[in-house]
Amino acid sequence: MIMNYFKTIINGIVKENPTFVLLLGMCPTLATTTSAVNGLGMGVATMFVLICSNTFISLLKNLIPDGVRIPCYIVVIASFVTILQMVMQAYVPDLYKTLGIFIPLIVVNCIILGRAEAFAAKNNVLASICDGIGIGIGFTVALTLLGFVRELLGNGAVFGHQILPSSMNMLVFVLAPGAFITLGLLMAIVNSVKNRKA
Amino acid sequence: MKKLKSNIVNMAVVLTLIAVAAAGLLAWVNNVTSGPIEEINNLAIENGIKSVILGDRDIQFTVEQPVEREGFVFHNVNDLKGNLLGTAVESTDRNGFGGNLKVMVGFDPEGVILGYTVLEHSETPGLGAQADDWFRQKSADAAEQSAAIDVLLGAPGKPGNHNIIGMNPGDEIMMVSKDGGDVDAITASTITSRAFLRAVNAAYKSVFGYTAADGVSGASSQN
Repeated sequence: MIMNYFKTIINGIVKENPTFVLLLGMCPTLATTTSAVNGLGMGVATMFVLICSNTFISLLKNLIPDGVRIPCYIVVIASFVTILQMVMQAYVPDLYKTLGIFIPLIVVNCIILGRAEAFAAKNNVLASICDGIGIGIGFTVALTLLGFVRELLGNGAVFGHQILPSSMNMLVFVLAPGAFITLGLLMAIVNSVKNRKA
Repeated sequence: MKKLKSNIVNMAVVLTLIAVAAAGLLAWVNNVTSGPIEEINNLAIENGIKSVILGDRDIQFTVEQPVEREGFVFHNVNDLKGNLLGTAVESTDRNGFGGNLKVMVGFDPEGVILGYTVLEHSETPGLGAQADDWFRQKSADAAEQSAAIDVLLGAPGKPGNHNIIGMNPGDEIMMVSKDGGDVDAITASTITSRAFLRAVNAAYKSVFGYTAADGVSGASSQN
């Protein structure tokens, strides 16, 4: 029983990693990962919303008629995003300033609605929480990794600490094209490792 | 419990109930967080005023009630005897690289820039987002950096001046050097630099009435 929950978590991180395998939520993935800290912040913010929405949607799944399930899910998700936004603005204003518009846009992040439809609406509360944790960690790890590589190559820094001289910076990695290039390469690496295992 | 059927009554009641519950929850959270949010915003303005007018100087000061006019917000700062130390102006340019660029600029009574701070921006991290430091950097420590990038881009440029502290927009042409001005743009971020200088010039104009910013009136307005 406990094994199953554990499997659900691992599944979200590896087999169904939202970024490298499912390719969901690409907009915030590409836009917010200019540094490792930003990627981490965005990942954790999304994970919070994902766990809360999965929990509530799983709790309410029999109460919500199929005909209005999408509007109901969106109301639940939007509420948690708004709560997150207000709490971040009040207590971590710096991170809120950096992530800016991408916090409210978590509402339309397809990972969250996707997991609500595909998992939380069909499984019990505990399993849904585990799925939220797993997918959330998978997303956070992917975003942090992406941010780490882009920050290192583009700014010569690791988590904000300068380690390379600024003459070695490759500006393009901080910009949008660098996001696509890094994501593509990371995906190739992840998939080649996975295929070798299988 | 069996899943509720999708008839009109069930659907209407459930959606309404969920919406009401969500609204209640949000009202409560808003109630809790609105205080701290306002405090943080006020603190940001207060620190901004202090840093753009006083810089590192340690002077006792009082800030007058802010005045709002034509989209600018003015904070007059006096010393304890009531002499005007300077004016901090909040100024927004809508055409930054990523949208609005809101700065606060401090002028002394003659119009010399005492300091500035970027209050809000949506510029590219690592590029346009450097505006907060770039325009107060002495050119020496940035010259090395821009030279390296120039080599990379294949367009070696001369290290110039981009420290606007101490400049007077009434005397100097506060435009990027590419447009014939006296200020070097942030490397690879000309659009941000233009927006920033427009905001500074607009702030100057709003306090002192005329501008040297548009390049045409720059020399003539001194006559």
